[in-house]
Amino acid sequence: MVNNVKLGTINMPKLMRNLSNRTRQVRDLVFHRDAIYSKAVGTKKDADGSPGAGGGRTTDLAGPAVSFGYETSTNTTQATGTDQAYHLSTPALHLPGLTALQSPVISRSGKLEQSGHRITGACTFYLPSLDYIRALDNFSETTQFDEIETYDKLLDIERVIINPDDYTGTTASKVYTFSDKQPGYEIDRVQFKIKTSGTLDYILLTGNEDSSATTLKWDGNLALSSSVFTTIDLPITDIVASDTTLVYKDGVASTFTAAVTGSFNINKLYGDSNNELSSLTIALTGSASVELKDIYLYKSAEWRVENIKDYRDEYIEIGALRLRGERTSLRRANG
Amino acid sequence: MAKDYLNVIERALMMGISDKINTDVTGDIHVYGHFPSTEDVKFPAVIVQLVSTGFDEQFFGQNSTFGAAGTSGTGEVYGTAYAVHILIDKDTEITISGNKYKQRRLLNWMMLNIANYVVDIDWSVYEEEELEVLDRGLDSWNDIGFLEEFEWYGATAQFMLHFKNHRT
Repeated sequence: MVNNVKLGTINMPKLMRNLSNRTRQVRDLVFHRDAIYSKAVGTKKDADGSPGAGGGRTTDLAGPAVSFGYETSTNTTQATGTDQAYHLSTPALHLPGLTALQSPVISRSGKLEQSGHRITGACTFYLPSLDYIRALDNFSETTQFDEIETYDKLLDIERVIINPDDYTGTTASKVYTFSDKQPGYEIDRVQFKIKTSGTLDYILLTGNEDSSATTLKWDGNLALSSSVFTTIDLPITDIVASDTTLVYKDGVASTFTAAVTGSFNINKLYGDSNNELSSLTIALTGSASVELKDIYLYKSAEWRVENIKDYRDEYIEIGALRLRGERTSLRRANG
Repeated sequence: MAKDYLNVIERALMMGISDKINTDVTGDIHVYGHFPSTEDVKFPAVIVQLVSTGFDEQFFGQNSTFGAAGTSGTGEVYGTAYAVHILIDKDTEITISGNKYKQRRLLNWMMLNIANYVVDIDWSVYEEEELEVLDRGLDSWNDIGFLEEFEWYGATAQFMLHFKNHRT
């Protein structure tokens, strides 16, 4: 709950709370910003007359570092030094809990391309004022978030495919078993809210692909709150072993790493007895009291911020584009 | 496999220009491999932009020898073209031989000296791997002028270079 923030004459948060009882156009979004990697620079020359050999590039170039114009794959904090420019580690931001009123312009527009089909769309999001957003959980606690920028992404739950029941009890792992022949190909991500005195250990999805067992396990170690719900939101499609994703709690990122058995291609789980999604397990490191709610395995829509109208204390109007949509029927057909 | 010639040459060209020009001035001249973003740009800025590259001329039978060791292999003459841009903010001031240079005076000095540097560049100092650069040349500076919206002085020249694309 946000306190001590001017809500403006419109009081956008209250307006959205009231509207959310009447329309599902009030959306619960996940804010996403890609990681920023350090820049490739040159600071040394190879003055020993043995190019590609000898002592290598060891002599200082005159003047400032030369910026080559592309990023490295490094995201660690670094000081200025040999072929290094100052860089503060800036991992991806992935912050659930941003509520917005969505006004679609084009929900889905198809374009046939050389070898496939692309779904695009456009919409307007109305968000509370920036002061209000900056006071939200996670947003207020990380120093990485200052304002909404163009090219930021807003992930929406376009359609809930599986919605397991809420759970309250004491357990080390809660297993949700799905009905027989449960298809998975529509699912992009899994999201749930959890409150527990324990520590989240892993999230496991199991299924059968061509009669063989296949699993995706997001493995981490995140101590959670027993008084406030934490939202966990993880990707499911196109994951290979050792991929990582970040889960934010109190503005601090925690890394979860993927472990895969079989090939785990959810697009191939089209929903017969040999190709099905079987279960979801949410496991703690030990038995503890736990509350789970709003558990969604969902098809996501990725909206990219294109333009921003900032009405100061009142609200923010964001023009967003959807550029990476897929046609679900092709996804099922081609795996 | 062929060496990573395009990246090696591009980086050597940028480092060569930066090293030479910053040796001759007091104050920093910044060299970029792209049009810098707003939070990055510092003036005077020299921007080296690869604009085209491709096969130029094949050797007889495609046979070539390469480098000090005379390694035999397959190869051809490959060409690259760069656009070299200079951007100088109206307030930028650089000291050259004890004199303050600004605006068009600085632009004139930079155009001539960058032309000198790129034809005089000693590739063996800036390359990260052995190269055989066969010829290079800077065409005339064009679009010399002032962008009133940004209050920038600027000029652009094309730079051509041919190298031996050797592989074993």
